[in-house]
Amino acid sequence: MIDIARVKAVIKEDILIKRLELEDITPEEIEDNTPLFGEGLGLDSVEALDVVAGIEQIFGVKLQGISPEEFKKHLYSVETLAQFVVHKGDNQEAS
Amino acid sequence: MAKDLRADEKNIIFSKRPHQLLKTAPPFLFIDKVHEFDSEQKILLCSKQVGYNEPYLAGHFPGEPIVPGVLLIEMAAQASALLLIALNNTGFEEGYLVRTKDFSFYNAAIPGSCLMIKVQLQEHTGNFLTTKAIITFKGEKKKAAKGEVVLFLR
Repeated sequence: MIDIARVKAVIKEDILIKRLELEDITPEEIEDNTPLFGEGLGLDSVEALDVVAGIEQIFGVKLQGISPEEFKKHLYSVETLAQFVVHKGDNQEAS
Repeated sequence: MAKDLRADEKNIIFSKRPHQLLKTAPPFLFIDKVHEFDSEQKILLCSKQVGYNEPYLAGHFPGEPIVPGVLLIEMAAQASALLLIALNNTGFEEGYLVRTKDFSFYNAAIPGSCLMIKVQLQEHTGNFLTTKAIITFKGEKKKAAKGEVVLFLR
């Protein structure tokens, strides 16, 4: 079982701030339920690819091949992304 | 590649021509013809004959015409859009180039070169389509370019 609080911290710090080079914001300022795209953090849609690459590299969890609907659902916020990582991570460990 | 060829002949990619399927038009159409489509391997092979009168060659470079690398990337992008059309076997698909990865240019494409553009689907994640492209010279083993493109589908 992966600790969800740790996953959220890694997503905020290592993926959003370091990998995407978000400036003028600290991990503490990113709310779990803030939308990543559009209003909210204001990421460009192409940056979703960097988030996907980061999730795979750090957690070994693949988002590749998912449908546009699932993609939007899981990449909505830090909360939805962390939930996806934790549950997918559990499944992958079990298999 | 020959597998399932007869079924593939019914594909819109063969019943229509690139200019009828792509959003781009001359002088910015960089695919002349689709040759092969493999629906299992998700590979599309097409060609572009480099003419002596391509407008951009006058300036790139004066007296030494070479197809610009960015246009080889554009060929890969247009071929990828055609691959998507072939895979879905539907008409028009709107895809925009949003990323290029690791493009290298090996041998100069000059007027008279017949370029073979081969693209293969790597992944389709959300609205993003990633393909691997390799551009070679017809009848030769020489490469013109290699790299990956990502299209955003609307």
